[in-house]
Amino acid sequence: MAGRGLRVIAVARRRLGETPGTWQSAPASGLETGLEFLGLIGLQDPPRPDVGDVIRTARTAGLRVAMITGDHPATAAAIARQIGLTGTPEYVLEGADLPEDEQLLGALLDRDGVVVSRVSPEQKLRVAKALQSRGHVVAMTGDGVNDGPALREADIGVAMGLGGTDVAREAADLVLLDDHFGTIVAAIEQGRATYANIHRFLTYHLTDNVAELTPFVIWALSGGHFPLALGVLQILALDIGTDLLPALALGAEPPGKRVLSRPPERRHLMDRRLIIRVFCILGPVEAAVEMAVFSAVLAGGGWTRGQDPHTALLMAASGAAFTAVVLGQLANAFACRSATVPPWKLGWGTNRLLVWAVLAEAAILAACLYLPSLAALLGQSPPPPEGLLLALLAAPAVLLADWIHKSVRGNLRRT
Amino acid sequence: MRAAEGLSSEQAAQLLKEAGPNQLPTEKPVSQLRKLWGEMTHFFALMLWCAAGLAFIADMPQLAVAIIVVVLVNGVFAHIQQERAQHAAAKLRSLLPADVVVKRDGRICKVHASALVVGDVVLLAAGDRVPADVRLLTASACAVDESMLTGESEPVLKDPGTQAWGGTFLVNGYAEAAVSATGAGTRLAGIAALTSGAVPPPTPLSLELRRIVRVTAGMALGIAAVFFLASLLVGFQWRDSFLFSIGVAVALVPEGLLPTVTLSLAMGAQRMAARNGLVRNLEAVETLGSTTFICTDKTGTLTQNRMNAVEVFTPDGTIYVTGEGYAPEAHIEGRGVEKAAQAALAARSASQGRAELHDGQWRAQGDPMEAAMDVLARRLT
Repeated sequence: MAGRGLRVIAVARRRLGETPGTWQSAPASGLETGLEFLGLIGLQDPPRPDVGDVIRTARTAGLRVAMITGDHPATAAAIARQIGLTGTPEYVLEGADLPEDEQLLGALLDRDGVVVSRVSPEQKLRVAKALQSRGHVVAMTGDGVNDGPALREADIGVAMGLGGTDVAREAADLVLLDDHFGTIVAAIEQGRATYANIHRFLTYHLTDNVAELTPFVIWALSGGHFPLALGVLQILALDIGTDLLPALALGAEPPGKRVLSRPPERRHLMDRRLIIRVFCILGPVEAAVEMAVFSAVLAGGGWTRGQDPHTALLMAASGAAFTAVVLGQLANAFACRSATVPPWKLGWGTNRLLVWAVLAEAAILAACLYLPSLAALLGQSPPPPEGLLLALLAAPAVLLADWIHKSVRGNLRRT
Repeated sequence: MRAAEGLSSEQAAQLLKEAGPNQLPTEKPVSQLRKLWGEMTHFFALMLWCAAGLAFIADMPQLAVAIIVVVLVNGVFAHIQQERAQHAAAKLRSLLPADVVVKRDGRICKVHASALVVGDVVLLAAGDRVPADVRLLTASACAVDESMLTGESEPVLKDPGTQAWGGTFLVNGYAEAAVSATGAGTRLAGIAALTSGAVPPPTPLSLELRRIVRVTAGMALGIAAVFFLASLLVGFQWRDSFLFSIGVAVALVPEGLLPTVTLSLAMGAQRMAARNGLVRNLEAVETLGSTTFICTDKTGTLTQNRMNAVEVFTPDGTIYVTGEGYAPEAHIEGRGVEKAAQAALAARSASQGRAELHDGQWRAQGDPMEAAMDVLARRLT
């Protein structure tokens, strides 16, 4: 039993005589003789029933899990085996075995399912440092006062809400209200989802930067002969007016089902994939529609190249360009929900907040065009009906470009 | 040893006034204003301030005002979110059992742990948290879990006359003890002070955002410079070219990014809280997402933190018991249940710890191992 990590208690009894007074005052050593053996009881602090599943989930999520405990080697190893933590071959160590050298220590521990028992708080600190020096982002649990330094050193210090000390909680980044290991993994899942969301709205925000910059580029390239499609205040209205709510809604996407089925992505938020998608696909398409609408309205008003357009005409054309960008972004918000799947496969209404945000975005657009004072401040006026119709094309254009890009990338990956 | 009488209420009140409450000195909190200031002066915010300043110079006051509003609103908003996260963590402290049994005026009464003073005589039983540094006056089978101080997981046996430290747990026995140090004077407070020195590393998110800000700021300035030259070539005046390029630079900065990041982190924190994970600062939400290695303790996180008798060996054979927690129901396999039940009953009669039903949940009263004997006896009989 002891070999399997159980604490063992032997039970024995002795029948005493009828006169109680004589044995009550007798010393224990005298009483505990001539005992009849009844049995051995093996005790254990049993694993939580669902913890094995959580370990498996962590594994498919590409997380490495090590048991770092102050407990006895036999107990620690027994529990680790029961919950399927240990790998093959098993790495079961004691704190005293850990090498002094940080590099050696890192190389020794940097594998899945290591069990280290009889660990002192100082050793915990060294373990965190060694793993970090190998490029890991380390989450470390602790409940004692002495665990403070290790919890602070780890990228994520995890303390217990039920057991444990205030000091550990003060030093921690994450407090488990139920002390459950599964809560760490759930928090990691949510953290990954949040990272993906930041990626989503970064794509979204940067796309309209392209549409905002293009008018200036064209103006400069034409030597000042082609009028400026958007003014600085219109740009600000896009950045913090119409764009903000859909971006927030993208930031609230719930975790996808596959968040924990792949290894952690260690890449920059602004990586090559995002840059290509924004600056080569979505951005240019949006900008192209914007400029097309702008020049169409100008041409429809009788403007020819080289002239200075009439102020009223320029404001109407600018209003049309603004409308095209907002509508393009409206479609883009749905496109940014996934980096691989077109929006109609996700279902248009599956992010409720986004639906509301997009409706609000349309309302803000209407206000920017049809409230005379606001429109005048932004330097635009409502576009003519044909300009409005043309601007409506921005939405399908963005969706189409997004769909083609996603399918081409999907095909490339499959081959 | 003679039973101690303890202090009188007046004495205790007087001492409490002199020595202050029995609480760990909390880290000196950074003032609200200072934190708020920090939310408005980090790198991204500074960039926006510069943009606002430039817009002002460029004679576009509406733009300047709009940018300033963005920075202020975001700063206040981020501050409120951070405070909410911290506040939730602070509330946890009240979860700790805080009442202590003391002898005052020759009677036994309950007081709040923070009201303890040096000289108070406290009564401790298995399961209690030692409320301050104490000297044991009487002790019976007294064992203390000092793991939070020393890291040693094996309980330490304590005899009368020895010290027990605040913050440790009595895992077995009973004791009467005189308080020898409270609050900041305790050993726990000394160690806690050491902890607060370490500086946490910058989070991956703050590094990433810094990078994005650098890239966009560089891009905005570069493009603005190009436009400055272009407009000069086109034949604009110096002044107009300058103002124009400032407009371009301001336009290129994604002003809306900052509040979006803050809000999405806050939302993530909220969802974690709904799943029992409380984040103490917002950026930890993203750091969690990039975690690659989990070092976990065993007790409580992986296990139930409850002692359970799982095997009984008797001359008749071995039985295996699987049940959850301290509940009396269990699944039993193997031979020799009758003998095993005898052993369990004997073990129970030799121990004081019991399992009791509290609010629909079975909990251990007293020593968890002894409670496990009680549970085993219930399960087998």
